[in-house]
Amino acid sequence: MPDISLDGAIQVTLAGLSTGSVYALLLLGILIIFRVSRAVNFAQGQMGMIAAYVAYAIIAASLLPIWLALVLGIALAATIGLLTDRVLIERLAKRGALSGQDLVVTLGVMLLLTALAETFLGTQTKSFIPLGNDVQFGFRSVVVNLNQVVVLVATLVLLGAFAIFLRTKPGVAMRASAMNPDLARTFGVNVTRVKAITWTVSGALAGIVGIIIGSRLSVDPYYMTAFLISAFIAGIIGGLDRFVAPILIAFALALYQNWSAFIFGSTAGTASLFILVIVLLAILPKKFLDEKREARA
Amino acid sequence: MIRNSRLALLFVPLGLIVLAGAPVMLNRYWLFLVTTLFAYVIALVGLKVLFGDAGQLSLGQAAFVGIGAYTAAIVTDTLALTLPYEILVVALVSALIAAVIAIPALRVSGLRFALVTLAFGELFQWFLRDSKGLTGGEQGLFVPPMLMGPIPGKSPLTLYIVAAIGAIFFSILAWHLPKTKVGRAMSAIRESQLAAESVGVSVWRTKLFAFIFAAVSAGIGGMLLAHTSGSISPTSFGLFSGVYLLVAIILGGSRSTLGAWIGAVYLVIVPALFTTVGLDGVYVLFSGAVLLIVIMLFPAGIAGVLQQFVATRRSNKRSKRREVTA
Repeated sequence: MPDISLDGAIQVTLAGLSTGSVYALLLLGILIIFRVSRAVNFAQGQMGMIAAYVAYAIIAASLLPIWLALVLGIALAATIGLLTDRVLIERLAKRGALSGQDLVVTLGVMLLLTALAETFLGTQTKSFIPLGNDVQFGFRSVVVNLNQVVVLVATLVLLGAFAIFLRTKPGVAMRASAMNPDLARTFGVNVTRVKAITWTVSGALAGIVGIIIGSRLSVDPYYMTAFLISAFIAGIIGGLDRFVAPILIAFALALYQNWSAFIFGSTAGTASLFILVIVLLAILPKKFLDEKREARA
Repeated sequence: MIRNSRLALLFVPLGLIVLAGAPVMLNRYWLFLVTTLFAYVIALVGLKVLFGDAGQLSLGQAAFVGIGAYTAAIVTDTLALTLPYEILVVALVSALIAAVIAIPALRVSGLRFALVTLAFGELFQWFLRDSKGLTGGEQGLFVPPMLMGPIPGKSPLTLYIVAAIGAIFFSILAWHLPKTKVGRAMSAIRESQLAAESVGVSVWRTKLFAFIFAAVSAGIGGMLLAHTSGSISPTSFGLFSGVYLLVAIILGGSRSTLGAWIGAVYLVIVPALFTTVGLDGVYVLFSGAVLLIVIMLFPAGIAGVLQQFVATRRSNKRSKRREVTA
């Protein structure tokens, strides 16, 4: 048991909030897709991985300035999101797909993106550009870096903007197409376009998250998996058809993980998360577990 | 059912001839591959019952394969159990762990069930890497050959025969299951848990049966995999392996036992063919792309396409006959 000072506690909490913000951004992409398409996007993590990887490859070859490489990576992830919707998910929906197929399709996209990265960019771990991780500042003995602070603030701003967006006209159109597509159509909402835009935005979000996480760790074809799993846990415990609860749980999970890693050591941090999931689902009263719709998948 | 038995009439004799001929025709490497194929068939048959019949999407099947593999390795090494006892212990351990996991897992369904199985799989990975004394950590374990008294358990032919018997045994079980009461209860739960409950199906007991069946078949499959490959390590039983098992059964056809065989071919034989022609890098790309194409074009998997084909031919014949009598 390490000595917990006030400064240490602040440090761990800040790091946890910063991790929580990447979980939240990743989860937000999953949630908005689930809202409009009722599909669970398992490829969300790998879309981000592709963005970071391609940006890395461009920067490593010093073809373009760094900012342009990052923008291209994010644009690529957005395009993949759009294509997944137009080529796969929307067709399944039109066909009146068997439940669970959307999930398999996104698993397929995940495997395909992983395979593409393995084949064309290799499986070796590569260190990404730091993006502010090397700029440290502190007060008393608390040390934080620029990346953590910027990401945390940007996430909070983005989440706030999203909450406002839901109340604007396009936001209402999005919620309407999610709730009742046919009715939304009769009110002149182009549901197909709303879905396409949502997938594109979600892809871009995935790209941003992929680059942030890549800058904190390093990139290989699999580095997003652990983050995707955490985001999913938050989403599924909080409920995929809500926004506030899952996002709050995403932050809570990150804090829990960081604190248990701090107290019990880093390998125990991973295990404690999964023990929490199993225990939570074993002891939570049934009424918290019932899904609004009949079981899918 | 008629469609199924029609298809069975076509495939079973063909399969038996191939099975008997294989050891004579194949070289050592291919005999090894086919034995591995049988092990995967057993694991996939379990997933067919859990996902295809009972409709419960599990991401933890690879972990149960791992439990079987590690139990087999530890039990043959330290206790020197002979094969029948080894099978018994592997089945018991798998069933017991499944029963414990069932307590949280079966309270929930749909995505939350998938999440619990995923959490279990990740915990199992952590356990394998962390308890080096028992599992050998990242390096894993060497697996001693099966102990079968006077019969040489190390010989590829023995492994082949044992695995073939196992694959056939589990296939018959899974093929027969939908005709039994518990099998019908499973399809009721798959279609609607609420409706099943309202007609008096014990949802919990039925799901428990499916979950334990899947765990035991995964365990036996894992045991055979361990003996066939001779060494095991944590990476073979991780999340990606679980996803691949799921992909294989969906690709093959999750509503049909034949689907488990097609899925196993996709997992074992297809990559080997790619390696033979020197294109192993292409396989990974191919596997993701093929999954997408199959799901978009044939939602019932390859076995579903075959059954459809047989069914349409039958109905064509029947309508022709009707024309003649008219």
